[in-house]
Amino acid sequence: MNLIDLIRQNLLARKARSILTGLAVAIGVLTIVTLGVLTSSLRGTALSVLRTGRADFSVAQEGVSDLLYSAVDTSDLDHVRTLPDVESAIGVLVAVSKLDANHPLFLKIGVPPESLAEFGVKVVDGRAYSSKATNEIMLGYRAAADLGVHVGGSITIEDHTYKVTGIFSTGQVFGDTASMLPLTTLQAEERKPGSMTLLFVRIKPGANIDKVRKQIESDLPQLATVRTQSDFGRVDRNLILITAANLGGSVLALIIGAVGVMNTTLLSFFERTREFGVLRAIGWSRMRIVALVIGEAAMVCLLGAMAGVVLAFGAVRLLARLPDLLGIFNPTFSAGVFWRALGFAALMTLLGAVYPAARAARREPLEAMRHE
Amino acid sequence: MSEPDIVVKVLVKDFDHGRIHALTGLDMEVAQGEFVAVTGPSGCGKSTLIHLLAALDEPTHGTIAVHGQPLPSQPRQLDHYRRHAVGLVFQLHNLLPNLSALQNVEIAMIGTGVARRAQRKRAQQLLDEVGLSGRTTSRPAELSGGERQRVAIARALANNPPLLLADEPTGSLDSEASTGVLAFLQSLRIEHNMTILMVTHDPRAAAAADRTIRLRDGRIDTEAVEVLT
Ligand SMILES: Nc1ncnc2c1ncn2[C@@H]1O[C@H](COP(=O)(O)OP(=O)(O)OP(=O)(O)O)[C@@H](O)[C@H]1O
Ligand SMILES: [Mg+2]
Repeated sequence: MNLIDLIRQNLLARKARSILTGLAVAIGVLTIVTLGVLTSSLRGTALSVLRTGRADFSVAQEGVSDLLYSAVDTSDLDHVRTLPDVESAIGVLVAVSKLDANHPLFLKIGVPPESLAEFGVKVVDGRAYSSKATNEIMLGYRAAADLGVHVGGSITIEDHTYKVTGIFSTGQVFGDTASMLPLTTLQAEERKPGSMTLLFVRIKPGANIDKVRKQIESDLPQLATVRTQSDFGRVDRNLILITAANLGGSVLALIIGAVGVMNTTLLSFFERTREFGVLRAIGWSRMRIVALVIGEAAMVCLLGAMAGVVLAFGAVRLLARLPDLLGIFNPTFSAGVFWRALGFAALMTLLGAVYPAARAARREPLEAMRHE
Repeated sequence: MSEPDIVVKVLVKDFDHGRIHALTGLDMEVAQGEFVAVTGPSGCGKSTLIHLLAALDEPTHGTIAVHGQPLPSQPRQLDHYRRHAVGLVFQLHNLLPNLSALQNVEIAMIGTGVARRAQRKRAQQLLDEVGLSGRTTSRPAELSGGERQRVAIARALANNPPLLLADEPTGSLDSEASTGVLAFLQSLRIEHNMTILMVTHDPRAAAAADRTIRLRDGRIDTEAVEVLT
């Protein structure tokens, strides 16, 4: 027999207790992983709005609760265009509409047709819309396939019926599930003449991105430039809230898991004091007792974490099907999620088991054996 | 007689901040390979003596030397001493309730570097020798008191200690089983030249030993020794 055999044996001897403890850990990990996937997917989705345009960075209004509420004026765009290090800048308006129950958040992106290529949009079928057309639209190839619409067909979005002039591809899932139409048309529909959601800026080769960003932010203090995920919170407060909720939820889940583990480990410490005394008396070192106690907790945590990840996988799948989240929640399970789950399980073990283990090891053998 | 294996000098052990005197100046020598019975009325300090020899407790005064060395005080040396220098059978609460008889013997070998198969073989052989070959998978709760003590003896011998300290190993055995265990202890002495210190209340068990030490009020009852020798 080795230590692992003994650990397994001890856990099997208290099956119900081990399972319940593992369940507490599993629920903790389930919560943590689900929140993590949800947050990172939302961040990823938000970010892919920005990445849709092939730009060095984006510009939006600072401090709005949701990126979609950002308003950037034509005059701001003109100013940015005049900066010496700026190669090009385009402005787009983004609006969401409800297409049907399966597409509650269908994106309409207003882009001037002459900027499409620069924006990274490739027309793969048909032709682009013309700049003044009020009833022409292009669909991303994924959206077109999903909706079963072809070039020459039509689509109705909230009372407006458009003729589909072309199908495009952006190389971004997010863009490819959206639609595009002339900027001025969308501005008129949304009653936001001269207003845009985002600017996409490309700088001249060799120019310093950070310098250009600083200049824009000092010239136009109502705007913020965004390049990375962490910049994103400045133009989308909701994301900051979601991130904070994720952190808070994770800490709570961690505490719940750790308390579950601690409860079981302390219980076993009191019940098995005599047993630890016997082991010490026949030559087990303190460290071996610590290893036994922590090992038992770690084994439960590990199994619990594995169950938690599996449960989380199911939970995320379910969430992705929620009508309210269709289109904005594209779950991405990365290897990082699993490491995180393992890390949290290890943390639960440490928080829950170290103290009981230390107490069990500190007892002198005779004193422990006299314990009733 | 060969080298003394255990040398105890004016051993004093108090409990409760000096209010209880368990050992009161005990002098004793046990030769290498000797089988000694320790008897005496309840509370005279027999278990206390065993615990001190097993390095589970420290004396209040006096010295103990085992195998020619004073008892260690460093944690690592203590663990090593308890594991390899002595085999210990307690009066009570010996076994781990969730483990089988076989596993209860094996736990003594966890971490000693003995391979699992060799551990199993050794445990099986020891249980065989104490007459429990048929009960290897039984848990302590399924064993009689005497059978439990025999598992404990097997465990005490797992790491081949040169000294066996047994507190009432035949305490709850019927006379047939008791005879078996005593014969086994004698064979250990004869075949392995083990030193054995056995606490017992049973005069017949004591008779199986080479010599009996009688304790009274925490020291050797000299009159009794004279009577017996
Ligand atoms: N940890 C302790 N704290 C206080 N008193 C103790 C402790 N251990 C033993 N004693 C006392 O020391 C004395 C000797 O105890 P010990 O257990 O050595 O007796 P014993 O000879 O083994 O008795 P028995 O035959 O009943 O097992 C007793 O009076 C006992 O109450
Ligand atoms: Mg006793």
